[in-house]
Amino acid sequence: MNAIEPAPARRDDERETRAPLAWWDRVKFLILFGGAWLVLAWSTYAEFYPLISWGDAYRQTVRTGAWVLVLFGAELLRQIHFLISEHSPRYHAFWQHAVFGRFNASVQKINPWTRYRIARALKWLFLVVIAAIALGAIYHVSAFSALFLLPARLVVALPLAFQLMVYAFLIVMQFGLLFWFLSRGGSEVIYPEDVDRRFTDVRGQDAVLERVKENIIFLENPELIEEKGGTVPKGILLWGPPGTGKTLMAKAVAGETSKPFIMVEPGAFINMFFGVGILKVKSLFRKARKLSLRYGGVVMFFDEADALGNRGAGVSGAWRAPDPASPWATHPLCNGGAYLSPQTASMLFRDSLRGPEGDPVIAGLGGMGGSMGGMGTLQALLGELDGMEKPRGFLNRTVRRAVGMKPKSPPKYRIMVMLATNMPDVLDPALLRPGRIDRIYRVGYPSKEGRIDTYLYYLRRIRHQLTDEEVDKLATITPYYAGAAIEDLVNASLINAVRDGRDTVEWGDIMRAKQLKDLGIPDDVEYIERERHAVAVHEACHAVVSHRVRRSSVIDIATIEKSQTYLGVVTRIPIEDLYTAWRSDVEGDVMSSLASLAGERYFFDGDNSSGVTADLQSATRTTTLMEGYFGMGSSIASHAVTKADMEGGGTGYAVVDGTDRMLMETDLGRRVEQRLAELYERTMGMVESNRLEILAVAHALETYRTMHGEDVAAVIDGTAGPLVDGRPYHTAEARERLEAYHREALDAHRAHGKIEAPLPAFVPFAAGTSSGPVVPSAGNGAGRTSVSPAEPGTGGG
Amino acid sequence: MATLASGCATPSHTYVGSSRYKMVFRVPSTWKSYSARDLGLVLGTAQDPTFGSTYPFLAGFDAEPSPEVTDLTAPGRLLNQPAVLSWIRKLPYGAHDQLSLQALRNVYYNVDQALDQGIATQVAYSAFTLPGGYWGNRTRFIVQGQTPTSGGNLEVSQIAATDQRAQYEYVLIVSCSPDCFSRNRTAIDDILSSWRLKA
Repeated sequence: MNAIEPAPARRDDERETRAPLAWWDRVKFLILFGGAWLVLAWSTYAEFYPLISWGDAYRQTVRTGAWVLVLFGAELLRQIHFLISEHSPRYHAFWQHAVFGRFNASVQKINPWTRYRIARALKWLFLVVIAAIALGAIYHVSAFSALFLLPARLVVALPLAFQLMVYAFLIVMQFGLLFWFLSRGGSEVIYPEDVDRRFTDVRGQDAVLERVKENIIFLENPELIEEKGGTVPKGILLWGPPGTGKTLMAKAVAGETSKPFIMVEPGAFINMFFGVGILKVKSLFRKARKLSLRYGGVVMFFDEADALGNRGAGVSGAWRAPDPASPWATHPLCNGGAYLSPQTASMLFRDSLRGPEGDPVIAGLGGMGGSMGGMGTLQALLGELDGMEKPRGFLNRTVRRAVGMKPKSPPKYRIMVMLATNMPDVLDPALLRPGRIDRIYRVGYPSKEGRIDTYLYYLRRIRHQLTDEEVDKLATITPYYAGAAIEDLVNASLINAVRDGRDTVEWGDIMRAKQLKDLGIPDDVEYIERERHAVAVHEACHAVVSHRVRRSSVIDIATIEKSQTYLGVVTRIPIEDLYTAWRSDVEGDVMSSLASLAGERYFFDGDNSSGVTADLQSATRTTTLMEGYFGMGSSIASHAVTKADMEGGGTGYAVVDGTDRMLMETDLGRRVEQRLAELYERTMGMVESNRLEILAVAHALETYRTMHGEDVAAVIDGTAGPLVDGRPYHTAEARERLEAYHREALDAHRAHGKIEAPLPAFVPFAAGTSSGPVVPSAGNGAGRTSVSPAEPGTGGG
Repeated sequence: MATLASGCATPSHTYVGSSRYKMVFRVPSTWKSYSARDLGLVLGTAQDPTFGSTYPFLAGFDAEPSPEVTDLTAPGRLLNQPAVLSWIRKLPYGAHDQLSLQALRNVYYNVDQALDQGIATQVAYSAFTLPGGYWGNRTRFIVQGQTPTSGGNLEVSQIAATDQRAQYEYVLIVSCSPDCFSRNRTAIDDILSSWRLKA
């Protein structure tokens, strides 16, 4: 044995004698009782002073405080017993085996339940004895007599007791009524004939709709699956971006099913008082069970189910990089981790359910940490979802059992719970386990075919002149439009037509509505000439670089009409529905963003404006994703698996608390900066080699303010666009005049002065020819076109 | 051990009193003591639910070799050995302003009526006030030939007092035959002089 290793402690049953007590443990009670007795003696002396002597006080206390002496004596005997046990193995063995051992053995023979009842009886007996002694002292009678006096006293006190009970009952009733009242509402029962929405009203979500229909069929005809040994699914979660038709799908279920539909309002569980949410849940399920018995089933729909919250606190509002293992990932990955071992897949899944905790390298908006359904509401809901099988009712559970009957099994409550949310990651994982929520369906943005179908569905309700080709084009340029957005666009187009005194919607109405929806109302302001030129050059750089490097999308519109949030913008639309981004595409995105900075510095002698702020944010964000997450950088490891959180884990922008600066000092930050520098050099080269095109597009923007993408492309490529002829820009004379105007603008920029020369005008070539003036198309900056903007911007200044 | 053993010895006196109600006195320890319950049972007041609150303190002592509680509860009984009766009584609310030295004097035996009837002789009387606002009187009288048991005389020495607001009545009574009084003068004086109301 090692010298410093302590000797193993012996168990009590291995010892021949009792383990010695510490000195303090041996005397502490003796000191306590001795001290108590002295206090009593002193108290007696003080009470009868000056009648009493110390001797008499002492003797008196021996009588009045005899119980202390008894305890003292008992403790003394106990300590003597311990002392002997510590030194005499025979004495110790006698007590351990002959006395305590036999006692324990005899006790062990008694049934545990009997022992429990005996212990209870002894406790009650003890309480009765104490009460009798106390009552005897109060009534000046013996304790025994007091027991017989007690019933008489109780009878005398009955009116008072009854009065107190009434008071207590009233207080309880007040609380009960208050909580009953507060637990009302929050849900509405819709019967089949009350709703006219049908599955045919749900457009563009055919795949999900089929799955939902399937579950409803099982609810309508449970024997279809139950006779084969299966069970009807109990819960469905519909999740996806807002406006994709989740609620509409639920309404359609309400309209199609022959069962009652309970619609639970999102705010039903946001309560002022603790416990009201629990009562609401219980009341809700009581109602559901009743309806289920009456109608053979019921559908319960929780809209905005994220209000139910999460029992954990792991949901932070900080933006985090997408977690590839998250079941809520919106960007489809390779094969969803199917190639992983089950253990690794499970670990990644559990990890993702704990809440997104990625490296907080990028600032941005995040989701809310749902806790509104807290305070036990969620737990109550989980309990109700699980607790449908237990016997219910006082008669069933208590009375039947009291007479020896087995409680009846509960009837089969067919309650289908539907949840809809756009924030599935805040839902509690326990809520989503099979048995509670059996089916989880993502309701995403519809495909192009889905959008065409949806457009046709809503256009069918109005008079319009759109051709099939235009509807196809409309579906193409509205890639992230879902049902609600499409319905709103069609409606806004109709409003435009009505405003113009027509009852038929035309293509122009659609485009104006789309521009209004996507870009908002432009500010009614005029730039001074040199700023207008600078903004135009800025946007032209975005447009030209984007046109050159991005092949997966085309420019939708370019504008220098100022809005609340930008001075100008170039938007793009994807040519096809794509679900993956390639390195070349993402680099093109970064270069398009950096084009404004490169262009401003190139055209304005190294100077640049604050208008590049958002572009640089966008470029840095995208480059960070490339380097840290997308595997498009110089390293391989993903920062999505790091657990570092923003300090405090709170919500907000990283840029506010300085986290972004910390990032830039890391190795990842240095790689991001290096990559940005490389892409900036490439962008600068592209700007230099496209000087004429940029000045041409800038001129066109200054002239027309807003241009369709096809016209922008025409100006860049020197072709004839639908509205703008780009060919006049690609002549030697045009180059000369554009350069001259830019020099004027540059001089004005340096001197903070005015551009003296007018904006040059270029005459479009005649139709079908490659040269020759026809008609001037616009004046000096006064021209306007109808515009057709689309989603994400290539750049905005 | 010697100290412990000394504790087994009987104290010279029984010290009686209630620190809550401030009254204390002592009687020889050889005298038989009666508790409030003993006295209440004889008086038939033990069942009265208000007895405990009306008499927060009640005690009696009897020097008879064969003591009986009735020696205390029958005021006219001839006693050859001193008997002590003491109580604290909570006065009813209406009696607060009615209390007088006369009322205190007649608290146990209607002395004034007996004096008027000529069947009693007042031996001594004095009124007093004590620290803490207590006031009362000491009365010593002999009732002649009225004892129901033997027709002999009974000598009574009593102290009756009340507090400043006349909420409680504090009484100590020592009684026995005049001859007994002479024989036990020392002990009786010790009891009466030990009586105190603490401020």
